[in-house]
Amino acid sequence: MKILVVDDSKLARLTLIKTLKEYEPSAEVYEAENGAIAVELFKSENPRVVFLDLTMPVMDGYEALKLIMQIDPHAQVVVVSADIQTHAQEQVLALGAKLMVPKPINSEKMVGILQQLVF
Amino acid sequence: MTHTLDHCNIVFESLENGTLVVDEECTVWSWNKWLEINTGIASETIIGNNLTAFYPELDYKGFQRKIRTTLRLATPTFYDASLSNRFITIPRKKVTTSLLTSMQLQVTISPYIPSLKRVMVSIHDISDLHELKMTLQHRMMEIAKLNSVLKQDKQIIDTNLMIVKTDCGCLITDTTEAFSHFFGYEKEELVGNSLSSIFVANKHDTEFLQMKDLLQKKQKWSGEMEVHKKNRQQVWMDTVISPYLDETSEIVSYTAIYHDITDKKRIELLSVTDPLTKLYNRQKFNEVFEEMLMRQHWTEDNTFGLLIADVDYFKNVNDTYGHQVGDAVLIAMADTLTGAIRTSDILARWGGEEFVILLPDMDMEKAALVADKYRQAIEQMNIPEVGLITASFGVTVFSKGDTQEKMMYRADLGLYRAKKNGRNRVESVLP
Amino acid sequence: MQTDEFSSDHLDVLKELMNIAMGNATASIADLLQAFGTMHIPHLTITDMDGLKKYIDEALKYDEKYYVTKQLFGGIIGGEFIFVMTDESAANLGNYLYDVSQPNDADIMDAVIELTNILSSTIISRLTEELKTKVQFFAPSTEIISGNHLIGDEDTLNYHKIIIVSTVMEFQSHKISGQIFILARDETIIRLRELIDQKLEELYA
Repeated sequence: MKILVVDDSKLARLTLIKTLKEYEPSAEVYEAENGAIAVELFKSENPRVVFLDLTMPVMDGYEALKLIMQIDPHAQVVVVSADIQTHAQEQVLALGAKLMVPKPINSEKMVGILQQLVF
Repeated sequence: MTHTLDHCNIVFESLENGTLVVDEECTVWSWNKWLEINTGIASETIIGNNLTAFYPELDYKGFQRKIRTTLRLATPTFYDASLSNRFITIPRKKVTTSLLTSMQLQVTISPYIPSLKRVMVSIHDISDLHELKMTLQHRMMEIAKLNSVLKQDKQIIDTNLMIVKTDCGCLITDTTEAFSHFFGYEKEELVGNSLSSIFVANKHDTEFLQMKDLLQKKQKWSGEMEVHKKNRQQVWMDTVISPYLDETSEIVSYTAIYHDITDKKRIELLSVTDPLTKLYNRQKFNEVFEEMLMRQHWTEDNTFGLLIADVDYFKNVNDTYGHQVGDAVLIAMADTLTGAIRTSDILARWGGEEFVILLPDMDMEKAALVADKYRQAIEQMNIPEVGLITASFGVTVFSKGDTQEKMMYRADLGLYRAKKNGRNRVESVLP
Repeated sequence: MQTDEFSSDHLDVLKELMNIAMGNATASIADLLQAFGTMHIPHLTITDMDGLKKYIDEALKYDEKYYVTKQLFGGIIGGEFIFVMTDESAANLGNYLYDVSQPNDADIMDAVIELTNILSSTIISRLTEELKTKVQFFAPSTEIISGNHLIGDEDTLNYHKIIIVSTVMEFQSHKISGQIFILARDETIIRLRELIDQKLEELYA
């Protein structure tokens, strides 16, 4: 299973991947540190799930989300953000994200996400 | 829980500050002794009731927002205490003069029983501190006002007064705008340079040497100095130089204040100078003569001479060649004498074709020799149109009890004898 | 301490933690003050006092009037939380929180204190929670400062190495924005590094 993890923070990516591997040790993980790289990787790898941060340099999560949804309207994007205001949540869900999860990711949150999207 | 609360109440009672417990709706659940004493409201009266009934003027929207923040974030919140009291009004008991009639409070709202949405409000009386702050602010404002006056004064000084500051080695550290502008420099050109190297015209001038001497003795010096601007224009400055000393009496810096007296000097010079020959006039000569007479150190062995020189047949020159040529003769005569005298001698035009010379530190014999030297020099002159001219000399020296009149009389007598004995000669008259 | 003792990994961790903390702060303000904010990427620098001065010179305009609120926090890690708003932003905040078109100075001061209170407690609490430690907050104080004299010359002696975390808080619909500086010095920087090391160890374990 291909997973794309998009975050400018190495810590955030590591935390997420570590938690993910607890449940999906065989997952094939691709990492991107901004929206632009994420969109390219999405095109070439067509991952099953995308974990996407919002505030990033070069191209932010909102822009990347729009482009990914244009490439594949059925893409499974989980927005993982520190911005937990309701209006941010409404905005990303309207753009086509499947879920919005507040940072940081922990085991409980990961189980919930995987149950909803993979199983 | 009740047990713990009782404990808390005991602690509240003994506190040196106000403590109350309220819930999100502002119902009062605890009111300690400090509050009872300072507000006059008994705890039995207020507990169980709403704070609004006792303090209707309080901004409850803000208060409840703070309570909510405290509970939601589980963190203390605060009221601003820097400008005015924003919580309940508690009268002050201070009798002696006070700026504040009610207490300035430092209010902290802390979580108390979150499950019951209750918070603890602790109140500290910071009136004394606040008063101090207000007084300080008042003083700061006064200082700011003074500073602005000072700044204006500084501006006036900077643009109008010529002031230079130097370090202890006389290197310029700062100048006013007026100074650098007057001397034609940019301030940056001056800073770091030695004051005297920039503009002192004559460093061997006695005034300058005297100044250096006094300053080395850590004394203030004032006097007149001839200096030059960047464009070499000579100017006269009235100068006051003061050294600044540190606690150990070592020189830290110098401040020099200058005042342009060039015009005054020019007028002064005009009043002492004969316009034709540029020599001292009779008035100035009398002044210098008097000064010389006043000097106490003259003795029989150390005296000074007085010469009177008169151009021979000058009336004929004027009559034959006209006044312009006559003037040229007088100028030539003045130039020759100026070239012949020592720097310490004083030469002046007495009037008409008569010149006078004071010769310090000279006895009769030497004075007569000097006069004869001058006579020969004049004899050597070749004046256009006129050709050769000669002059006669009367000589005398100072002796104890002499006055200007007595000495002039003797010199005149000598001159009379020189003329009578054939002109172009020197005659001495002893005291 | 040398800057290089704080590796890019350390900075990355701190930046991400700040990001999460800022997210919480924005949400708290949305919840408590009904103001919705835009989040910005926080900026982290480790510098000395001269560096801080230079940083402030660039961040603030010398001819502007600012409301500067400083709040101290202490514990295993301690430092100073500084929230800076232009007087226009502060007046808008006072206006918003106190429902008056012409808020007086005391209203503005209290409003600024209130916002700072929420910001500092959420940010610092979240940050310290992630690092598994706790801090105590002290009463904040606000002063109005002209230009960029955020730090007096006499204050500069007390800090050696300083960590500056700065970010912008923006509530566009109310024309309110401000800059956050978190200053911490030597001991805190060392402790912070130790706490981050623990976190990194857990992660790589």
